[in-house]
Amino acid sequence: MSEAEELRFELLEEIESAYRPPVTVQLVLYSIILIVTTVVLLFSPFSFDLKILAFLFVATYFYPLTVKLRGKIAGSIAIGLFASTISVLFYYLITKIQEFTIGNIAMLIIIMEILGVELLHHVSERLKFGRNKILWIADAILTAIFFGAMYEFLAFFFKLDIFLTLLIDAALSLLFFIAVIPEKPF
Amino acid sequence: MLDIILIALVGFAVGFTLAWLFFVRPDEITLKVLDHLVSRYLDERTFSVDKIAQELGMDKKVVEKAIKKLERAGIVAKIPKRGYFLQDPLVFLSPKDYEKALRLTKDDNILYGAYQAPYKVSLAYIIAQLFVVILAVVFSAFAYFNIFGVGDMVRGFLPENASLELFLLFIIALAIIVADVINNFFRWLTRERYSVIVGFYSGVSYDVSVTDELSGKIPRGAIANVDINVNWIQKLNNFFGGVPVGDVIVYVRGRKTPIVFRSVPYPRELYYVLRSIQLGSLQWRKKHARTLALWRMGWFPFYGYGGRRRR
Repeated sequence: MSEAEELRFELLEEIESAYRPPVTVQLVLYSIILIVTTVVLLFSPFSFDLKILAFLFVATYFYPLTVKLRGKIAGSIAIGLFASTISVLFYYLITKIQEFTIGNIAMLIIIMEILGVELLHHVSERLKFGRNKILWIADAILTAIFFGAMYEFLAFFFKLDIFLTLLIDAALSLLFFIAVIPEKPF
Repeated sequence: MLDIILIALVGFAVGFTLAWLFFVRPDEITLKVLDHLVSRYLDERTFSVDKIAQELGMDKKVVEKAIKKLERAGIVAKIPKRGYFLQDPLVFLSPKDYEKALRLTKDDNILYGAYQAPYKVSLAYIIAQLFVVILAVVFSAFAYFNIFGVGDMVRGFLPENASLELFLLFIIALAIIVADVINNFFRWLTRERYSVIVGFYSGVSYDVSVTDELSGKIPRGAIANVDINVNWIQKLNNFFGGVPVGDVIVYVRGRKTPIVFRSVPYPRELYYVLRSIQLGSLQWRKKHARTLALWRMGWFPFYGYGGRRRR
């Protein structure tokens, strides 16, 4: 094999790593982000619960951006961070609700749906770009829940005419559906 | 204080375990079908499920399932009335556009096919997307800390028993959805408009306008030189984003200005494909077809510490 051919072989085989920083740099960068976040949060006026939530959010958000490792462990850590953030967010919001009115519950459902789906798409490319029947059905179910929750929210907060409420609800639900449907990677 | 830490740990453990259990592994049947296709159908020869099942001596339904899996990953494409084609792994086109490319290049071997995505590295596009979310976050911060009386104003608007924190998070969540929709809209508007196709015999075909159908042509022999340029925004995208992009510059004989393909996915690979057809050296294609197909499936290579490949 000639030198030119050998060079081509290396580049084509390790196709993505040629574009990314070395793994050590990725890990160091991620560690720096976590350390800076910790220091900033330590001196912030937020409650302990909010500090934990903010830390987890930063850790989950920056993990897929900085750490470009592919494989079972890296993928499982990303989903683990996502699940941890969403569980803490749910717990935090539940403790913050003073009165469980329909409006508050509707807002909670919508927030959990939007942040849950968006964060999951952010951490998992397979789920973001995957186009199979199960994901389409899941998206349809999520949109139906969003539609119901948004209707309750609009009725509770704005007390508009039912037709107008349904119209705004349908428009927002359509936006939600467009945002969560599986995307094309290229 | 301890309860929230416990919830965080339990959440992590549950998510990690579920992801670990449902991690998609390369299955033997799909690998067997892929190996067979790569070794016998690389040069765009059509095949049917029946034919592959017969050749491999396997059940038709099992083979069909494996081929569907390969189709979802973009390894094979189904063209109506013609059957399945094995795509080169560097073809990042929709089945519809792949079919169009085959038609317009008279069934040439398509070595590379993708869409230019200049919007991806456009500062205006990035800012427009971030603007909505940043606006919502700033508004929420002003309301939360009651800066300039924004908090009082929001509280005055909300019903008595509504939670302010929940409402502010709700606003941010809606802003994220709006930003996502803007992103999808831009992608839809620009995607599948500016294709770049590299065929083994036909050379480079590309769209010159939004409504074009690959009327731009660079014959194989007309390529004088190829260059690659990755600007700082593209570099940032390649470091932290999803699909790596860059500009590929093609100098054509008899033409003063070069043709620039902006923000094409995997520009280094396009560069090598162009250099290969320029030099007539495509040995790598067959040699590494399997590796590239496995990479496309997301099954290989998995990088270990230090960026080295683990077999």
